[in-house]
Amino acid sequence: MSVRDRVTLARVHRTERAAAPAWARYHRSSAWLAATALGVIVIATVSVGIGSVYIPPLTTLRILLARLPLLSIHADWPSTFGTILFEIRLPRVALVALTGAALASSGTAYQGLFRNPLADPYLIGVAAGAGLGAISAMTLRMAHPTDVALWAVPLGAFAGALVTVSLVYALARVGSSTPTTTLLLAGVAVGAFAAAMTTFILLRMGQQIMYVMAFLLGGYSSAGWDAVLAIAPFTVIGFALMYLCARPLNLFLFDEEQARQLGIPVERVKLMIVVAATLTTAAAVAFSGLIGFVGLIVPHAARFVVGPDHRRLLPLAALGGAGFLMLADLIARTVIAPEELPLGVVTAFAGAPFFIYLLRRAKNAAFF
Amino acid sequence: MLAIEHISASYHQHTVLRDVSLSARAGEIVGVIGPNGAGKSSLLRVIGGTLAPVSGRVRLGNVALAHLSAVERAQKIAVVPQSARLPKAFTAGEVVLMGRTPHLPLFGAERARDYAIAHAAMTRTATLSFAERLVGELSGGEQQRVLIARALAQVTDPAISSGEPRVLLLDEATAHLDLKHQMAIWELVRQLARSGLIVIAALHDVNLAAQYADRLALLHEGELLVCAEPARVLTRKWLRRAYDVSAIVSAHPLYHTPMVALVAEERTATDEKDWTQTNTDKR
Repeated sequence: MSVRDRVTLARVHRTERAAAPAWARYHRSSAWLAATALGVIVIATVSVGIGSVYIPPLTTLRILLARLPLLSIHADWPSTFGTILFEIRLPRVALVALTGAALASSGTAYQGLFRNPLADPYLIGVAAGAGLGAISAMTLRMAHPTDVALWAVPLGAFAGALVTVSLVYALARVGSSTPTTTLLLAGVAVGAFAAAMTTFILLRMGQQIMYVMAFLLGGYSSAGWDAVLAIAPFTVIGFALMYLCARPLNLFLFDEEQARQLGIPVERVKLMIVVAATLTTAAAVAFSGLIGFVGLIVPHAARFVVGPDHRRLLPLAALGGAGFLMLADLIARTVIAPEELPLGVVTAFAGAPFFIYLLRRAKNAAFF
Repeated sequence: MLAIEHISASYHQHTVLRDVSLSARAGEIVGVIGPNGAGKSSLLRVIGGTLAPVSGRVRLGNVALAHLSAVERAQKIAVVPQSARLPKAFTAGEVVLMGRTPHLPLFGAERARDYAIAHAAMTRTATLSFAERLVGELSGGEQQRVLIARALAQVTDPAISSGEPRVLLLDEATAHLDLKHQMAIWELVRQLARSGLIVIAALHDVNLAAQYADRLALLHEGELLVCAEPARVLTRKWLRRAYDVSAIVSAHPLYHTPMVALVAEERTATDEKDWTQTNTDKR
């Protein structure tokens, strides 16, 4: 491509964007995305500084910038600060942020796909299945620590989630469609079964039960860079797949018949969205345990701000989920310091009232 | 020209259409009538490509629909559903823009041309004035117009010559609207048909069908009983056969299209005689 071609293309791109009229909100919500992204950075910077050793946000920024090449910043902070930041706080906050983004974006996708404002990874049983898979893998790892790699846990979670979602799907299928009511009923039933199995395994565990319980409720005490590196690819790939399907997902808000009539290969796109959302949910559950309500509250808050177009909704929900869970984690590790609250407890504390509010409002509100 | 040739179809192992053949020309409105379960919606779904027929074929111009991909078919044939199936939180303009879906790559975004086409479709359907408002805030009639605009945006393709046939399928599109809005929508549909579209509309209201359709196709238990001008379809004989009702058919005072009045079975004997008497007296 010559330089002139490139300039022309850029100009076409600019005029096409300028041509977008006021009734298409898609091009107008970039400000919200930018603001939320900025908020996420601020929360992250403040959050990594808070703990048994306080590091002021500006110092945090300077420590981070000092790591970059070409920048010479005079190190006037205690050398332990760097270690605390890079070895303890940053991996934990990064893991929390990725988990929040994963749960919120997959929650958004599930809600859109099933046209149900209450659908989230928990309601359709996917998270319980992922939990069962993760716990099974963990049990194996505890019995044979050398033979089973850390990767076994996310793989187990993904397998558990995929089996659950296929089972729920097969049970809910009526003819060639999957009605929401049967889907949610099947999800609740299969989820309850997976939860019962998990409890059974837990009771057989003996000594390690506290460790696994802490995991189930969402505990991060053991978070390290290896966990961050293990969850990142799942989250990124899953999100990318969901984002690709964002425009078809908008059409699913009408109904599948209309989407099909508009030329969308409905079954293929549905499968792609389910696999992607399941992948991200499983990754989140594998490393962060069962953290409820993020996948329910954040998508609704994002929808309230930018409307139902998934091309804006998915990124905003991902950013919002990251920010929300980082805040929840900050609360979890500060309110009863040096002890920690399980993260799932904090999100449920904020989430349960919101859930009730949703139920009360559902009668006359337009969610999509 | 749209030709439906010997179509049989089944749904959940239940035969819904038996050897149905009919055709429609550009500029024409064909009304599909018949009692519940007669196969009206199934026929529309076969034409729209979302229900595959067991046998027979649908041809549009010179091509058989079965030879088109889902996207190519969607570029030529659009469905106007009932507005109850609209998500409420999109703006009217966003809904119309979604009609452009078959013209975009599956994972691509709209271009300037698509905005222009959506704009034009809204101008033609008088929906531009509320393009920025949320669908949930609009009245039933306005929502229905938005769906017609979406269908128009769907079948508009500047790359293809205007001579190629385009089809609008209306499935009980006005059943939930009050009289004034029903009429407004049908006036719009007629205007669109006259501009060269083929319109196939399933309706419950036979009088509305008589007033706006150029021809009527009467379905009964999946079979096409008759397809002709309204005056030849809406007769006592056919209405008895398809709907199992007694009816008296007169003419619209202004347009002379047939008007159907139902008569309760147990009162038929006497009342009908009176009615015939009075009318004969007048003449």
